[in-house]
Amino acid sequence: MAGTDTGPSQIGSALEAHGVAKRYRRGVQALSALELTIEPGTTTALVGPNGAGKSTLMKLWMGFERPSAGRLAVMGADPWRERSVAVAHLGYVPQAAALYRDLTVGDHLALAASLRRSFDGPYATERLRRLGISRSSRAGELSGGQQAQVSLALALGTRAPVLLLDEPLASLDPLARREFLAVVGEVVKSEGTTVVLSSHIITDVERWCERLIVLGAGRLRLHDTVSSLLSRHWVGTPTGESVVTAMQVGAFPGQAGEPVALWRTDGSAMNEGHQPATLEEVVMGYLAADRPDGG
Amino acid sequence: MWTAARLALRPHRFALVWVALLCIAAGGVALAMSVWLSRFSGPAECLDLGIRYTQPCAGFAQGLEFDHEWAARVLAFLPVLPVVAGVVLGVPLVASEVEARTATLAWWLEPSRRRWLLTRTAVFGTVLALLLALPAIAGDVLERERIPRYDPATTVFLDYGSRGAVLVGRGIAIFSLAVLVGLVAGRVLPGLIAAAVAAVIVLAVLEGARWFALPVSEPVVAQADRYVLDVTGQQGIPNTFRDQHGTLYTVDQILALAPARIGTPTFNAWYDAQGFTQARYGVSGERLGIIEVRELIGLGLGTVTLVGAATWAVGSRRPY
Repeated sequence: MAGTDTGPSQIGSALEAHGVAKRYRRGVQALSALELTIEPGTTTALVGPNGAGKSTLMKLWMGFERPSAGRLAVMGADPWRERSVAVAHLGYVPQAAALYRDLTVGDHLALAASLRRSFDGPYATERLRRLGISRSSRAGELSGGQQAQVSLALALGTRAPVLLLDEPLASLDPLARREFLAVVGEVVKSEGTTVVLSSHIITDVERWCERLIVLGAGRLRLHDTVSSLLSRHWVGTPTGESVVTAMQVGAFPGQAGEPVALWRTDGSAMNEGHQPATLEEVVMGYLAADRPDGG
Repeated sequence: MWTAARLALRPHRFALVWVALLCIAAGGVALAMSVWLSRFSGPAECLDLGIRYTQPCAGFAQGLEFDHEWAARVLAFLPVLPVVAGVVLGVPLVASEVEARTATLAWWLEPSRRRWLLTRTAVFGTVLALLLALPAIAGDVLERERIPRYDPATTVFLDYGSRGAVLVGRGIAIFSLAVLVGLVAGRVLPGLIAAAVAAVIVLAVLEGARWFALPVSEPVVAQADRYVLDVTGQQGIPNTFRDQHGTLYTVDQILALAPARIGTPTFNAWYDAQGFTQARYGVSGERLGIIEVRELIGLGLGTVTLVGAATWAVGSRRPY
């Protein structure tokens, strides 16, 4: 698989997964033989369809789930066996804001300060103030976007070197999504935090992330920089055959329903009839390749 | 620390207020009842539960009977308090956080889940102990008014478990059991049901184990009825027989030794020849302190074990 980082454990990696598999009791295989390394200071989008294993991978790194096989690491610490060390390096925003409905925003900040010694209350307060979210507001009375911002402020307030954002955009309107990503982008830029954002809304993350991971059916399908992916992938009419300088990855329906094929090259441009792929088309091409008929 | 305690308590304030009102109401009623009983004056023996309608107590006793009955009902309700309070406060401690998914927030913020659990268990346990102390003390006060010739805090087994430190100890032990059940169940309603059933089983075991390996005193009243034994500060052990050498036998032991079936002439002749007398042996009321301390030690060990088990289990619990 071109562009996939599957090397051995590297000292200084922010997040690692080596041979990781996760099978739930009811028999669902959420992840299989996953090899992944995420370097410090990078911003990575983790995408894939529902059930691809994105949330499971996040929960494994958080120590919420135990891997069925393989080894994970957060800044070198095993999140299951050395959970306290690993969690101390992590900030987390879950898909559904996990806030106490009856507590105020200020209470949540106080709670965070009591639970995490390193929590920077003034920093989190200032972030919320800029967004017009009052400390005296009850969490249950906030909009979905505001709750997500409170969750993000709590995560940022920990000043953790690694942020795991588990589909926080899923329930937000476009404006709230844009505001959320703006805050994340600002922090990444100013503090060099490692961020992994899982999402299935590719258009939102393509302007923001520098690396992309695609999971499909619990397996790693793609892991590369966005710029590299965009420069090496083209879309055009499917032929079912490879050409000299390109290989067809998968085919999927275009916007008008017409068949579209994703082609991968070694970086060279393709001939007429092909055009550079968008990130969404790259993802769809690889996910389509997962299907039994190869898309 | 105070902030952590306040924020741990606040999401559970409904249950806390409910339990507080229950404890205050039960304690208040017990105290009011004891004040009501204390207004009577008369010969000390007439204030004893052992009174019969004989002179000079007859009229006085009839007047008191109604109040004593109500006092008995109040005291009969008090053992329910540790079960209700322990289960209602213990189960939601973790289960409601898992159910509402707020455990996700707490468990990623707090690097040590064990510290998180121990902190809130200590906070809730302390609050529960303080709340149960009121009915525990009020129960002792009420009992003292019912049987003024004896000190129910040190010499009478009557209404054991309805008053004193045992009531508080049971509440704490049931609370820790409920925390573990709620943690494992991860859902409040099933947890409440399971914890209530488990608590009743624990109390039944305690009831059976109370007299275990405890030396009995000399027979206090031959052919006595238990009512008198209780009032005189003794806990009777029923169906006990003594032969002419003073050796104790249970009914089953006598039946095993007998050469013929009970009720037959052979049996009766053998029984008389052995010099058996039916006697009520009892554990002296002065041993109340020992019994209480033994149970409190057992409850303490149980509490430590249960909290330890919960602390271990929280490490592998999913927060959702």
